[in-house]
Amino acid sequence: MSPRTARKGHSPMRLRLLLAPLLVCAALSAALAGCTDEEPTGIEGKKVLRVGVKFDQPGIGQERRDGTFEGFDVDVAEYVAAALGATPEFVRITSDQRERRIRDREVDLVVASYSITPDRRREVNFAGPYIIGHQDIMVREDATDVAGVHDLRGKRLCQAGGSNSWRRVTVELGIKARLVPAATYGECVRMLQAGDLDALTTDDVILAGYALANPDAFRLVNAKFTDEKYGIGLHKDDIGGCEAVNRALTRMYQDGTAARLLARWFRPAGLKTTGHVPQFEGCS
Amino acid sequence: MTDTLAPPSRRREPGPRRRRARYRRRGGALGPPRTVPAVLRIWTAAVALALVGLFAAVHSGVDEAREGLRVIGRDAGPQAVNTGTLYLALSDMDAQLAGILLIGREHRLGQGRAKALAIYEKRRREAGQAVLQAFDIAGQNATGRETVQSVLDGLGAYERLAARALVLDERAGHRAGPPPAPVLAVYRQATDLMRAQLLPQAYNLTLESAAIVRRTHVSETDRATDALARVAVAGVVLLGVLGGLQVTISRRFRRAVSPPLALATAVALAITALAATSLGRSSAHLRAAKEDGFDSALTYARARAISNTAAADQVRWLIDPARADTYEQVYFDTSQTIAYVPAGNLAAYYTALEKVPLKGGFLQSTKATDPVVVRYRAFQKADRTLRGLAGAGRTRHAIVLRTGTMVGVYADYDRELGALVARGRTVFDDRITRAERALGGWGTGLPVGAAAVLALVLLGVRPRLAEFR
Repeated sequence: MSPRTARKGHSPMRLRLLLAPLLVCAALSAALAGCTDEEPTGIEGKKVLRVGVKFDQPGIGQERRDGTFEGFDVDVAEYVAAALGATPEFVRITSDQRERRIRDREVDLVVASYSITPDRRREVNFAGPYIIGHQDIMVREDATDVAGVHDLRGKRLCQAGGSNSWRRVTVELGIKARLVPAATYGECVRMLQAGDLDALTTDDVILAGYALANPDAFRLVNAKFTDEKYGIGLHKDDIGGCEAVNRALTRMYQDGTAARLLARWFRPAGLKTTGHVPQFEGCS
Repeated sequence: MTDTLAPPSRRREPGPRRRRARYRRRGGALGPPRTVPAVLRIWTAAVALALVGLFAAVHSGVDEAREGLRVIGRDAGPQAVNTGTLYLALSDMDAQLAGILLIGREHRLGQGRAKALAIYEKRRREAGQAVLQAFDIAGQNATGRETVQSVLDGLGAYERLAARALVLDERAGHRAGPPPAPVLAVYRQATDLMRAQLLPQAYNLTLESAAIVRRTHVSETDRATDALARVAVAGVVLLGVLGGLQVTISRRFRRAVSPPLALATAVALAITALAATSLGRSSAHLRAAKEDGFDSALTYARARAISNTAAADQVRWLIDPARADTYEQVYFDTSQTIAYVPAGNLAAYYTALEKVPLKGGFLQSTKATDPVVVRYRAFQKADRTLRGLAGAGRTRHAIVLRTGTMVGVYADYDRELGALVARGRTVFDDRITRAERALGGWGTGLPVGAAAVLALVLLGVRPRLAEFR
């Protein structure tokens, strides 16, 4: 019951009066809806996520002949995308493109053996790490003169583009190795096999894949001289997305998926992994 | 305002609609009878309806604001702080254990074995308390409880390993320095369990709680604006209807103002204004609690937590030469997370830290002269000396330095961080209390106010209705 029923005779006026608050409400709620649309670029709510993955790292991210991808990173990305209610669309990415393509929003996520470093953290947001790798050294099967990282002095060491690994040896530890540039780790591996290099250093999880693919040609020194935190790169602004990915990674470890994936991709190469969720970096 | 709501004059020429309405009235079938008492009753009903609208708007606004406050102020906020304490206690347990194993049979070296054991014991108790509290706050959150349970299990396993390492170390009776291989093997198991399982779980709980706070805060800000708009609209509608009623009465009964109605309008206006102020103030306090209190407490609590692991990594670096490269790299990485200056290695970092302003990290928002930065620089300077001594083969000097002077250097730095955490917490707690207080009183105030409006309206309308009896 409202005044309107009593005053049908003047309904246009009455109607206007009753409509006024409604119009105010509508205008206000429209304005309010406008205010809340602040994060339209985050990954949350997207139906398709473009994920940058490696294409030449066996066991991590490798492109198959049919153009699809396989590896630990690929499986992790699939799990995370599914947890966010999205379908992943994989794109090839090289180490030196990662920050730029995240910044330019060409990719939504980067899951590409992307180790979290203080320098990179200033440019992108890192969810995870989802695994801790340890830097190791790979030499030709017949090489006997490298037993630890300090034996790399004077040796020809591969310097892969966009990668951080060589820096750990020559800059952080100050070991004077001779750096030989190469575009990707795939190229490093070919050069090592051809005898153009003495050693290749990067993380055990990556090296294991190469060694496993060619067990007669290479061996790992088992030096393990760093902790490498593999993170999932997102745009610097996407804090909500970063938190959502962390939540997905926690679940991945709690529901046993992580243990299964680690066993599938790294156990054949003899790598020991903890199976516990790593300490996250935090999103900011 | 009220004038616009005055019912239109009756003297206007009847239009077709009006005629139709009259017809219906004569038929007495559909439309209500168009008598003065009926009109008054309908106006009164309209006031009641608008009053219900305002009641609902204020009630839901206050309710939602209380829920947001509960999550941030009593749930996720305290959980973030509590799990930070847990991390610190756990990390320091491992640091004390490493220190005890490092000095071996030289029980009085540095701060000494007895003191280290006492600190270990104290930290163990703190960790236990924090676990209990974390479980309590986790409440119905299944993932959170699972994590806390896992920390509890891991803590038991860690203590068994630590006890074994201590017994083996006693038996070995070695001089200060890296313990024999069997002791080191057990310590490695213990520290791996701590660093790969327990600490990450505690840290991730802190981060997850902080994420809940951030999310709640973001939606809370939107929601508060929404609630304010709803209260404002409902208030304006009620005032309009009250004005309409007032005008109707003054026209039909030739009275200037009905005092009870005027009073009712004043009360309605007061409810609307007070509710809007209340919601606005609580929202502002909550924002301050988050931005001026929580964020800073969280930042420094995280800095404190990982600074403790950095200090522990110094001891681990001394105790386990085979892993020294890794411990040094992790120390460098952690240092840059605390206070970032561009540097390729630790040596360059020490130098840059002295000269260049901080470019990032947890301490970024501090000034170079702030005590915490001064203490942090001293901490890094001592680290430089430590590594220099060890690098020059003066391992014993390094051990004496680390277990002696450097314990104090770290404690001074840790105390500054602790003070910053406490300052943030004080602001947080204070603002949360004020936000809660701003919402207080509506439990009784709202029903009483609404009842008063209704009673005054009836008081204003009844005498007029009586004129027709």
